[in-house]
Amino acid sequence: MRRYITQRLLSAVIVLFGVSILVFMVLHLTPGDPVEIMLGPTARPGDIERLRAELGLTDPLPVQYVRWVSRALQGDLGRSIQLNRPVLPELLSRFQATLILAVAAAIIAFSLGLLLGVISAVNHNKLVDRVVAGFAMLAVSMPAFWVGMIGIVVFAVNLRWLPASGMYPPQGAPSWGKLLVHLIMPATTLALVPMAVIARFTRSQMLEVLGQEFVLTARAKGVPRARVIVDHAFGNTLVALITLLGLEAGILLAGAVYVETVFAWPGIGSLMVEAILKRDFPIVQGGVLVIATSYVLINLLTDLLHAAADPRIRVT
Amino acid sequence: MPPEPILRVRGLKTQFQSAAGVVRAVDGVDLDIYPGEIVGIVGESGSGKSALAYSILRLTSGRIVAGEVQFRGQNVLELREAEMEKLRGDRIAMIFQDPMTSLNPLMRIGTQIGEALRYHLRLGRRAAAAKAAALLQAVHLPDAERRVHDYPHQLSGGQRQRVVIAMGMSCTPDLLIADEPTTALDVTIQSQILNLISETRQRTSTAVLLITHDLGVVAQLCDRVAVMYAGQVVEQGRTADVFADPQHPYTIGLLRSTPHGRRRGEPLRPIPGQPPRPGEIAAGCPFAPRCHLAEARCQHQAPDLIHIGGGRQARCLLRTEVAYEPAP
Amino acid sequence: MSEISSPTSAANQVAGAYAGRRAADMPLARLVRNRMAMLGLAVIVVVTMLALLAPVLPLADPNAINTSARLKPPGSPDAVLGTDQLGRDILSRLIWGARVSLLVAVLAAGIALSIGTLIGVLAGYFGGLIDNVFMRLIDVLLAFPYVLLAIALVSALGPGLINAMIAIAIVNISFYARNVRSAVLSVMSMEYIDAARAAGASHLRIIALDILPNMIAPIMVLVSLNIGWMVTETAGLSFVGLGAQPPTSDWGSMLADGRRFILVAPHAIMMPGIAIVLLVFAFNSLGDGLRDALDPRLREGGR
Repeated sequence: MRRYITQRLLSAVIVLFGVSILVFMVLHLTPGDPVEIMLGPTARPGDIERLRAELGLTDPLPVQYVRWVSRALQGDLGRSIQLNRPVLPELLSRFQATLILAVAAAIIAFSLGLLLGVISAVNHNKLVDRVVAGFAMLAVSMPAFWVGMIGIVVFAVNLRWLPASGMYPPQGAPSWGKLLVHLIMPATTLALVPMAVIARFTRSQMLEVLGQEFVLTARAKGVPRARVIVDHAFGNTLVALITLLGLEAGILLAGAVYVETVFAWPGIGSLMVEAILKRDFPIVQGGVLVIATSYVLINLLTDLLHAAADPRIRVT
Repeated sequence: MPPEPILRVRGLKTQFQSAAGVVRAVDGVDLDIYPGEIVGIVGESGSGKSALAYSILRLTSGRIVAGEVQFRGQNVLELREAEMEKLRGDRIAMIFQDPMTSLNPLMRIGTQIGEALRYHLRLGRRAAAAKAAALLQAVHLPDAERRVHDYPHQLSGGQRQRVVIAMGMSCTPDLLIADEPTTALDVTIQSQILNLISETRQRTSTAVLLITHDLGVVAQLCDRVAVMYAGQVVEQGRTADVFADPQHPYTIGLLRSTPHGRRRGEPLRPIPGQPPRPGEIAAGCPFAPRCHLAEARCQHQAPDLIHIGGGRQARCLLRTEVAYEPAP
Repeated sequence: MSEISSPTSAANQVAGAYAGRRAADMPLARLVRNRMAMLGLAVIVVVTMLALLAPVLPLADPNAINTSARLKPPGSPDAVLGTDQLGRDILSRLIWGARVSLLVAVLAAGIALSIGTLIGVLAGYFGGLIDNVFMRLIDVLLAFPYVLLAIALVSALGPGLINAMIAIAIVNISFYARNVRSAVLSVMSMEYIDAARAAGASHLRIIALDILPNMIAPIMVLVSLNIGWMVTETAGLSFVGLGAQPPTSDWGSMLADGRRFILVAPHAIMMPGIAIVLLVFAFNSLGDGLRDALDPRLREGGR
């Protein structure tokens, strides 16, 4: 177990190193002079020179990289060109909003996905199973940004049940209740694809487990069918489901970009889209770095959790 | 007066729906098992021997379309599912082929053995754990007290099969159905497990229905044997009798094709051809296409299982019924 | 009796014993029997034909602005699916937009497939150091939630349809590389590869004659499962303004245009959205059908 953890930590560090190089290179892959692009055609030559020196772009690449990484490790990701503020605090406050959205969506996705998957598996090849399969197929085929807009038209514009955008109403003090109301639509929209993925995975995993001999053994022991499903099949399915956590986190973080744009949710995804359109490179760079790092950590956590839950890995 | 059989199977038919049509996996099987005896069922894979075993416990995924399975006078096919669950693991237990897959990888073995105890004997958690340790001791698992806390992957294949047997024997059933219990094991472990089964039978007087394709296992362990082919019993009788003087051409072929059955110095002779495919079983004797003795009438006349004396039966047109054998 | 033991139990034991392949079990026949997959194929064929024939179809000019006919609802006499905020015919724009969306998706899939297959075959075939280096690189690519990597790349290359396509292609290399690699590994364990080696066949010959032919089935499955994602991803990038730039427009930019008018003219987002869902659904059901027919073991793998 200890060796496994060390191994996983080490590979996470290597991946993060690769991520940092890739993110660093993003700025240098840009065709043309990044500084001129950032400042636009109206910039004065003096400003260009000043920003170039400020960004250290005149040094050799490895020097720039080392400086950039060591600053990043100290929490200094530079200043946003548009907002003229340090990048990190801005990113973190936006990331918080994304996390709230993603966690809410994850809760919806896992509870409904598990339920649908188990129902499907237990009613294998019956009508319910087919309906769920069709629904799951439809859910993964619908782009979140479109579903979100339909939701706005139906629930915000026509029915007036839910707010169309934002985290809180424009006026008045923020509160948990208001947050919750604002969360319902974006979180449900974001949950759709991961829910379908979980439902399909749970179904196939349950079917596989139910077909294994130890399930038959339990039945032969006289364990009632419902208890076999709960005690033997579901436990094994859950452990397998842990491996899906990382993938789900990826789907959620990616989907958040679109959902945040549609619902004007003040998260890191919509911030990055704005930043790219406005050529605010430090924000883009920092944002990619923050999201990729947290994604690597989530995957690391997933593996460790899986190892802890499965005795076959735990002991060795 | 002969004792009453604890299990009396009559005319059992189990069918599967497959892409290729209806598969008659069990096609009218009669079988009696008396208290404390070991009965072997042999046949090639696909002969329906496993489907028969699963059908007795009503765990088959196929459909039981006809027949009776009387256990101590009660037709289990008429029981409600809840009553069936009370019978399973308590009075009739079953163990499976592969000890690698027949244990839940996420559950401690003590808990798995304890399950049947808790459902059937209403033991508490602690009492079940203590009994589980005792059961493991009885199957000679070293260090049983500590082993109850192990997970299946921490045990070797042979040790796991001991656990599986302990699990099957936990409520001291009247009948233990063992489906190829040694097939997945090393040869040296095989004989240990067979000895264990035989020893367990003597200690508890539990009857054993042993499904196997290995005539050697039958010779070593079984009091009586039934040979299955294409879903039917084609010959049955006392093991010694059947081995010494096989009556059905298929049994003769089986014996000649294995080292246990052939006479010394005789070469191994496999049975030519393949078992019939589902839907291809035409009129007549299913074994006729492979039979070296087949006559013209075998192609269109299906043989009945006939009594040929000495408690023996064979399903072959070339045998003549012995009149004095009382009908069952 | 009880379904609980269904998939692998006795039915298969029995049927397996009589194993013999009949015509009805062949992959193509299995695919044709799958009604959802056939429906998907039909939708794909129709959409592709419409896109190819756009120039000769009797359609309004997709870019003809008519301010007097803005945001007309569907069912209008001269605009069956209505018009957008500039009075352009939505049906015509949908069909012309299909050219863009399909072309980008197919090209991106082609690029990702070629590079990914190359990496997967090299890594799987040679193993060792090559495998290690490639797989670490893939791990780095996989460290980004996929849209994020596309966004990072677009930010470097600049917004635009071509750049969006390149970004999406790069993002999906890892998908092909990993799946092809594992398919190669399973072929490598076959005895005829050892036999070819023992007979002194060159690496190139083994790869070309023994490995690649075995990759065709898994690759067909991968592509059909992946292309639906490509369509959504392209539309998504265009929707947030990082893909197609005016005057070029695809279904995603049509959605972005319509978004500003969802209060008064929801049909402007309904039509392109339904088009995307229909096409993606078609690719996904065809992909599922292909997978079930060709390689059931690929189930639920990848993304």
